[in-house]
Amino acid sequence: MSAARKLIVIGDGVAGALTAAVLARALANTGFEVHLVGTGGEDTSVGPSTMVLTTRPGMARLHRMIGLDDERLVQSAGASFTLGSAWSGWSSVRPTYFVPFGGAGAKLHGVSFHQLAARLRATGQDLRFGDYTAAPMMAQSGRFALPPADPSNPLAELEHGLHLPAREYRAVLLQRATAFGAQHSRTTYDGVEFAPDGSISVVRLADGSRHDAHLVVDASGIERAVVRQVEDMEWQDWSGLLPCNTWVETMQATNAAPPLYSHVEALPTGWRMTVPTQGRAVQLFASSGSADLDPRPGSTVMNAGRLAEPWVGNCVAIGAAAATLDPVHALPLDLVRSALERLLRLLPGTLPASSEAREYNRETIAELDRSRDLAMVAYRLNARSGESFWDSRRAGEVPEELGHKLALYESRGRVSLLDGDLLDEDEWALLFDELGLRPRRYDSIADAIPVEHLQRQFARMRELTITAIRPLPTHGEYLSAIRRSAAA
Amino acid sequence: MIVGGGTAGWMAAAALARLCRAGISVTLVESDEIGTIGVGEATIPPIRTFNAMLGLDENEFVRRTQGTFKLGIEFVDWQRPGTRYMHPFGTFGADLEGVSFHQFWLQHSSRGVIPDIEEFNLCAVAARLGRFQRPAADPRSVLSTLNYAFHFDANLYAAYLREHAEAQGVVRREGRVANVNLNGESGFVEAVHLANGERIEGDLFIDCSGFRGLLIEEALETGYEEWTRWLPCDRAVAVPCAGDADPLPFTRATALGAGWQWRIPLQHRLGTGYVYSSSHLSDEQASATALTLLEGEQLAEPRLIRFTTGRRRKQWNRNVVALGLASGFLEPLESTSIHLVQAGISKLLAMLPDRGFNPVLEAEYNRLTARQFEQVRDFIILHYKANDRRDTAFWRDAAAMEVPDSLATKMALFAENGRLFRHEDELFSEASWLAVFLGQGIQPERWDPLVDAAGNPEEIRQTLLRMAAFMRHAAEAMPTHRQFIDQHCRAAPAQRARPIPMRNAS
Repeated sequence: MSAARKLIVIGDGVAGALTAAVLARALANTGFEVHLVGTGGEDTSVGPSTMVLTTRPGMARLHRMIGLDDERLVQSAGASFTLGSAWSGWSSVRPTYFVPFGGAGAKLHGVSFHQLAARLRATGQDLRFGDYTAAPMMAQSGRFALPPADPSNPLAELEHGLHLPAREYRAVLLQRATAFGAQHSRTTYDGVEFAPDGSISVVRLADGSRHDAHLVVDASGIERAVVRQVEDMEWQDWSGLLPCNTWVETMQATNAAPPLYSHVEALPTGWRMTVPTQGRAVQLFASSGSADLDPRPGSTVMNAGRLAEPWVGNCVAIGAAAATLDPVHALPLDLVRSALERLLRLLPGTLPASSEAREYNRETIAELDRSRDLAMVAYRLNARSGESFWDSRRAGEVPEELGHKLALYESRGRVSLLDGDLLDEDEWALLFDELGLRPRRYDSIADAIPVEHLQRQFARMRELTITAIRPLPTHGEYLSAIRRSAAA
Repeated sequence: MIVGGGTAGWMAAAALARLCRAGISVTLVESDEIGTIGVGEATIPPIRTFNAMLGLDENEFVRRTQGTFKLGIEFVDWQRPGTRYMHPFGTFGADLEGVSFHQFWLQHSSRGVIPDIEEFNLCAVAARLGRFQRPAADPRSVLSTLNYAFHFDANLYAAYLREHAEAQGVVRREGRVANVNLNGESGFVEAVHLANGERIEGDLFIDCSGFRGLLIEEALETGYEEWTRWLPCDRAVAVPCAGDADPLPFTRATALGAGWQWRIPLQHRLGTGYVYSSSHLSDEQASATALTLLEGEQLAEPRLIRFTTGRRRKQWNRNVVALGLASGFLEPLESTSIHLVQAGISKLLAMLPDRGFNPVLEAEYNRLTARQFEQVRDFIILHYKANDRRDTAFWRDAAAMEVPDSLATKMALFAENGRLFRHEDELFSEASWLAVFLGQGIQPERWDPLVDAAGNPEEIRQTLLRMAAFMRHAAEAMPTHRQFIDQHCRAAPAQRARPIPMRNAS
């Protein structure tokens, strides 16, 4: 018998295909085999968005590892670029606002942008973070190019993500996975059998074949095909914290060039997110269905929550199988990315791997809980009064960590960064600011810089950014140029 | 309102001096009668950030404090007698294919075909050669991987900072605090009374009064969490002696029968001392050992210091923030004492309260400081836990102890696959943990399975060997530590001959 150790990924949707590609690439020629097995049914592997997915900036690293880059995904998967999201109907301060990847502005003499902005506001000047930040300015202008290498260019640190049509993206990932030697099974998953110590010993497929398992990854989405069978897997429900549980997606074809952002609009009993990409736009409607109403036809029901422990024995759940998170901040695919990077760091050569599992769970749980807190922020700080759905969101308990984070920011403009936070200080500050949370006092460090100097620097920052954006191609032209370069 | 001078007090005063410009008065009360304790004269790299924040010129600072440069700490006899290793600042090697350098090193080290890991760290190589220079700014240069801190005389540092603080408007009041007034309703500290009858009021009090914690403990009864079950050393005897003409650019910590000895080279003397456990060794024996080990002419009488390792349950309680020894104590094995003061100050600046004293600020400050103390504690415990010395009860007890869960997880992950995990805000880098894990003799059973996928092992080995050769060439081209000091920041020689009385710093 061959001594190959098998890593078996259950679920061949986007999350499973990405997992298989990454594992196969990392473990080529090491005596590990990677198998990918589908479960049939709809691809809910990442979450309630099934037609189009959003990557955040960190994804480029993982893509590079499996030989993918932005150009290739624009050419072969219909991707378009995104710089963040526009929001309307949420905030008391801004009827519309923009949340870019990477937060606002730039530091000056080591002091954070938001502290400097607070100082200027204290002198009576009203300013918007977005007016001094490249991403929203660029998104507004509709012009785009990948950031220049010259570090002195004001666009050098621009961060971007992609909007990816899910089916095409999955096809590209499956192609990468098999190119790296992963075996994509023609048959589907049937079930697992357990060893006396509770770990999974055998994975059974629909064609009757049996596979000895080293490690099993459940990437089957809300079906949780494997996890359901594992006894110790408990589920923590978040529906009291994140109310939306009914999801409807629609797609429209369009000839217009896609905007450089998604749009999240608050509605009286939920919200609607529009995610554009080449030739189409997908709308996701989120609402809170009540138990006594049948869900609308074509909708998916998915309550927010997570597994108490995503890694038990030799079974690791990834994507929506591990946690179902409200996608209002486009975090679900980024959580898959982060989980995969963590799994790679902790991949056990031998079993049992209890220390690896413990560390994996510690980090993953922190990240999921903090992502839940982030998803709650816009609900918590909403400014829609007189609508019971939204009124009730402003009241009630919040998790202790989130309560602390909000209170500390309100008091001093300081962001309490916790383990597992996916946003950095600047990104949190911008989000709080746009939602109308204003610190009562700013950091006294900002006083060290004279106001006139600050005003000059801010004006200069804005001017340089505008000058750098003006000559760029429109997003549509840029996408066409990339597609043409493939054809050539 | 700062109670207590010394290193912590004057560091706080110098940093808070900027508030004077905003019309807030900053007063420091200290008494010349009260002896203070040096919290350690060896530091770690973040001290440079603190000095830069104050706007100090680095060469002048080194000159004024009889300072020298520090590239790391050498641990002698820790794993067992006859062993030594360097915990250098700066990083090891370069990562390949997204996999950590040390994983490749582990693969080849298991076959015995690769030099010691120290050869891959420029700070360690330069330290062994007695060489020093500041890092290069260009990230492509191997010299950019250098990182450094200082050794300095904490008394002189306090005096230097005092000048700086007073020049910006901080007021120093001479006197001994006799009494503390609490508000009957809120329990906040309202004022302190000096022995001469003066009453000084304040809004925020910073307790730098040393171990006793005049405000945080004696007045507010905050409570203390003891960590002696993990770190049993509770005494130190300090004795300075004449140093070498060529000061080493690193601190040395040598394990002894019931603790360890520090060796800190300054320009004008060599600071040494024995940190020990009083239940394993008498004070007389400790002093005698410390004197026997002196490398040069003794410059002062041995001074005994008592301490209890642990931390104040809240370092910020009501309107009192404790810094330095008043906030807790961790033995200076990894030169963290001054850093913990500095970290407290920068957090306080970020969370400076107004008269409302919003409790969320206190909570965040206490959360961050508690965590930092615990992370440093774990790192120090590792040095004791992972020892193969079986020569004395002290070391046998240390090897047998049960460590905190947070450390046990770290040790288990490293022992299995050489994996290192650093929490986001953790002070010690992965390189630091790696140096100490390997130095203490924890050899992982396997390496990361991803190493095997990265390429031909022999080609990788050749790449690694080139890295080491490159480091050595770079280090050999550097000036010696002495040359560097002479050229940039030599202290006044007049002070070199005079023995410095051992008083100072909380």
